Amino acid sequence: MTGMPGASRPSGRSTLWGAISTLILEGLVVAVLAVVGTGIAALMLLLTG
Amino acid sequence: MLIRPTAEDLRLIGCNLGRVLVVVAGTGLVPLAWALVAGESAPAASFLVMIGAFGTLGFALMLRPPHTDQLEWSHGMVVVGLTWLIVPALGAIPLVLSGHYGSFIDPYFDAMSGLTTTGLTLIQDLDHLATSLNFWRHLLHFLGGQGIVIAVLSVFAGGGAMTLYYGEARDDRILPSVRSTARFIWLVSAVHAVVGITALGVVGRFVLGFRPGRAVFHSVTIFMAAFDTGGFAPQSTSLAYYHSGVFEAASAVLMVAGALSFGLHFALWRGGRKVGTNLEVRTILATFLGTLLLTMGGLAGAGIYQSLSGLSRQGFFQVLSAHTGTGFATVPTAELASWGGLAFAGMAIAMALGGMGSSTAGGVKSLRVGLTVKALSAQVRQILLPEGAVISTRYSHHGWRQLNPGLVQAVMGVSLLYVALYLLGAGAGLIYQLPLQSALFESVSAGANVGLSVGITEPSMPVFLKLTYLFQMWAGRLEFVAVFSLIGFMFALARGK
Repeated sequence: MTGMPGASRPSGRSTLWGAISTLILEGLVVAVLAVVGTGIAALMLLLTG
Repeated sequence: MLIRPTAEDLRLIGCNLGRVLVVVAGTGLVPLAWALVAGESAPAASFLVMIGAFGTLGFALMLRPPHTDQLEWSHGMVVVGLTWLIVPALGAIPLVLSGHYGSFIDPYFDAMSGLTTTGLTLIQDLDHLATSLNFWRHLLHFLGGQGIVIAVLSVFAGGGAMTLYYGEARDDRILPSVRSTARFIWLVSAVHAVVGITALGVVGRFVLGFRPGRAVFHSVTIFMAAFDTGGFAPQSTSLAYYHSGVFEAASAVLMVAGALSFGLHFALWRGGRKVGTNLEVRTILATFLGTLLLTMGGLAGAGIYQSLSGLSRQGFFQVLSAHTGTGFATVPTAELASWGGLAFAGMAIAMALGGMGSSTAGGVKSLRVGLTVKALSAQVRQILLPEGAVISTRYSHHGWRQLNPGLVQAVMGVSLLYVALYLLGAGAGLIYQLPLQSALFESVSAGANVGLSVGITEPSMPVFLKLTYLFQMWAGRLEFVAVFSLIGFMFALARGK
């Protein structure tokens, strides 16, 4: 991406576990954000009557 | 003074452009096979025409090979700029022949929208489009999201391949060689494809009750649109067609995965211990929660949704769709257009900021936002603290780095160009008497490659507005450098000494 520092990191084998844990993490992030979103929605409904 | 390109420059550019076109011709075999299996003979013939066009032009450009294979920056940028103009033009051939578009510019608009992973569409009667053509529209998302040049690099990478990689607005050179980086990107996509298509297919088959073939079609197309943060959908009502929270949740996970940089994917695959301190991760979380708060506040205040389930489901999904640059809609266009005030501001800001750098998302990008805030904060602290005080300007992004003036200048320069791009489209909308809010929303959606629409993008819209959005999608996706390089190259070709 233009205007970004280039990133060159050491090579290594990407493991199957790494892929699986990343997928689980992505699901968890969406779940947590959805819960936070529901909390914000509840707060907003409360504040606006 | 500009120097006129030599014949060797033109051969280098032509040969590399030809390689890309030949690879794209090869990918055309996939929708062709789909059309043959589905028994769609007319689309199959149109795919043959398209493959022939890509192949003929590609091989013709490769007829006179250059003496060296070493690409310089200018060559790489011109190849990328031209690739992203020519591929949608030839890729639009099956769409032109489908009879679902009013003029040539409309299918070109859709092909550009597909390739740049925007998702705005000018198609007519989408719900009756042949499945293979619908598949091709989504495959354009996949090609563009991965980066067409990445596809070529994973097959053969000559000298100076890095210039092509950077030209497609990526700078996360994850592994030592460009080829291994390209292959890692494909590996991440393949893993998500297997899991994503399976998950969406199971939901389609057992929750929505689709027949097996129909479940496969919808899961494959939605996967490509979600993971590549594209936003096309096989039905005109987008994701609202499915009326399923489970389907939306599965899509949301893929949208988030697509908006993460491939560098972050690599860090996570390797254990991801330092991900929590990453400036880009912190910035995207902060801006997502901020825009969610604004949108929810606006929707609740205006009384658009009065139940908790309605507000949380629609508000959350639409902000996620906007911030990741996907553009899936779970509410009708007319309803989205009624989101005024704070809700409009929240959505527009989310779209404008976009996802992470070196991901499939568009927009300004989280790292640039984070670095801008960091630089401004350092400047304010410098003013407030005693003269001579040393201010730390370190930030974490796959390791600790130092913020330097050159980087700040580049980051702010590109961010300003995005603002100018958004204003350009809004200005074009105002020429046609569109309300400022709608003109700005649609312009940001095009420039940030999102694809959400408040109803302006339709076949009957003025041609000038179509051309403006086309330029915005192209320039926004390539993050300007390749665009300016191509313009400079053309000028040098015409006026150089």
